[in-house]
This record gives sequence, C-alpha cells and structure tokens, in this order.
Amino acid sequence: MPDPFLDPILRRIDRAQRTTTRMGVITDIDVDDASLTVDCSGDIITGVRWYDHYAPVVADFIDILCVGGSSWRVLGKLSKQLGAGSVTYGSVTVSPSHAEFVWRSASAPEWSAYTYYDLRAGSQGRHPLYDNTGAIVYMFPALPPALPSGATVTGARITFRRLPDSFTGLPLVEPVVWQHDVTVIPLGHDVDPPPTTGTVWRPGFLAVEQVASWELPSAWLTAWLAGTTKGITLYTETIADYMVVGGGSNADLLLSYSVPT
Amino acid sequence: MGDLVAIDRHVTPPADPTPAEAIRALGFDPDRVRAVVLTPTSVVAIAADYPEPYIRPEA
Repeated sequence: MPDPFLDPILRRIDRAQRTTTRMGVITDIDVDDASLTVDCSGDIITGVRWYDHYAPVVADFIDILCVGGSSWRVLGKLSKQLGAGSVTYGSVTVSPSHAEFVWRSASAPEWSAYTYYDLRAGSQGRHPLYDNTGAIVYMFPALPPALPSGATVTGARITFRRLPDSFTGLPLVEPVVWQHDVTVIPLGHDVDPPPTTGTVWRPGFLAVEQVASWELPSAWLTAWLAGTTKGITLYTETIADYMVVGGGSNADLLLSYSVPT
Repeated sequence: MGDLVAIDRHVTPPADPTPAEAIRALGFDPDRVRAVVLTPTSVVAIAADYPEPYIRPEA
C-alpha cells in the first residue's frame, strides 16, 4: 500500500543515488562508438559520452555525471589534475650505431669506404693539400623504440664536435648535413657516392675543438621517426667546408619528450 | 512459388574520421602536435611548439 509520506522521500533517495558525479582521467577514446573509458581512482567506467562542445583527449582530467544509474556523460574538463601533474618530461640520447667514411681523390676518383678507428670520426669537404673529398655517413638505430609510446617530442638536438687536424682549415666551418636512407655501405673500393636525400642543412658554425648542438628540422625528425630516414651524411665537395669531426658525443641525438601521466 | 523479394543490402559505411579525430583517438591533442608518427609498436608525436630551426636556402 503506497505510503503518502514515505514514498516521495524514497523516490528522492533513489534519484540521488542514480545521479552522481565522479572525477577521473580519460584512458581511451573509442571513435567508432563515440565513447570514452575513464579511470576514476581505479574504478574503470566505460561508455562515457560527451557533448559536442568538448573535444576529449586521452589524459584529460574530467568531471563525469551519471544519469539514470547507468549512463555517464562528461560535464567538463578540469583546468588541472588535482594533486598531480598531467605530464612527465624525459630525455634520451640516441648515438649512431656506427659511421662509415667515404672518400675519393684526384688520383683515385672512384669512391671508397672504410670505418675509421674512431667510430664517429671523418672529414667533410675537400682537403686542399691532398685533394681528397670526404663524407661521413652516420647510421642510427630506429628512433621509436627509444621513446615511450604516447610520447610527444618537444625537442631533438644533434651534436657535432670539430677535431683539430694537420690542416686547420677555416676558423669557422659549418657541418653540411644531409639525410640518407641506407642501413649499410659495403666497405672497400668503388662504392656508391655518399648517400643523400632531400635538402641540405647547414645548422651553424664550429670552431676547432668546439662542441655544439642544434635543433633538428621537424620534417627530418618526422622522417627519421617514420623510418624513411636512417641517418645523416656530412658531405660537401667544397674546400671552405673542410673539417674533421669525431670523438665522444659527436653525432649524438638528444630527444626531449613529454608523456601523459 | 512466391514472389522474389528484392533485399536492399545497401549499407552506408561510417564516415572516415577527420585527421583531428584520428589524432585524438591516438591520445594526442591535435592543437598541440604538428605530426604524429605511427609504427607497428608505438605512436609518438612532435609538439606543435617544437623549436624549428632556420634552413638557409642554398645559394
């Protein structure tokens, strides 16, 4: 028998229990289903819908509203996750796996390749006395395995180190940098010319024994991450560009990144 | 023998996601990245404010 006093109170309690809000972090977006998975302090809520004015992003910290006891909707995104940062930052250095020095001269005009005693060393440009023209081809491991999946790269700096040489060259010389897409160059005589693709990049000047690093062009980084670029070549036929590079940290690539927490 | 009944099997495929929707589905904010690279084992992006160096045109 209906109770005219108690029933309205029970209905209110029932509504209150079925309409509730939670705070959580988006962990997955199902584009086909247009729904979200939200982690609310360990309680995983799936099938969460959003309104048109909100564009969900994984790791967004949001308020969600439960309607009717089972249907969840996003109320909105909070400006900052309470009690925690929304991303963490990291960096990793990727060194060349090896380098191959490619050269030719007036007396031996075919290209030859060999590996220097210093695995990062070689010369670029034309030696003014011996008339050798050199190029250094740096091979790198694949970049994506060096980064956490989901990372956003915020910077990628490549380092060059100029070494002293019997012929000093000009006081300031630029690395003349190309991309390449080869994984190995057969060592020996009569090899192909130095591999290069795309445009040349002259990042800046180096004095003798100076170490400097420069931000890699983003298009190069994209190609490198995608695997269409395998490494870089320092190559020029010009006397004014002659210099020797090598030693520890030469050709190191420093990747800075952020990842959602 | 009954009449043959034509069955309309035409199904409208779902619309392809826009690039922005696809980037969101991979977990990135499309306004904060300039490129997303997807490999069989990972997905990484390049930040929109990546410090782009100047590339001088060759003379």
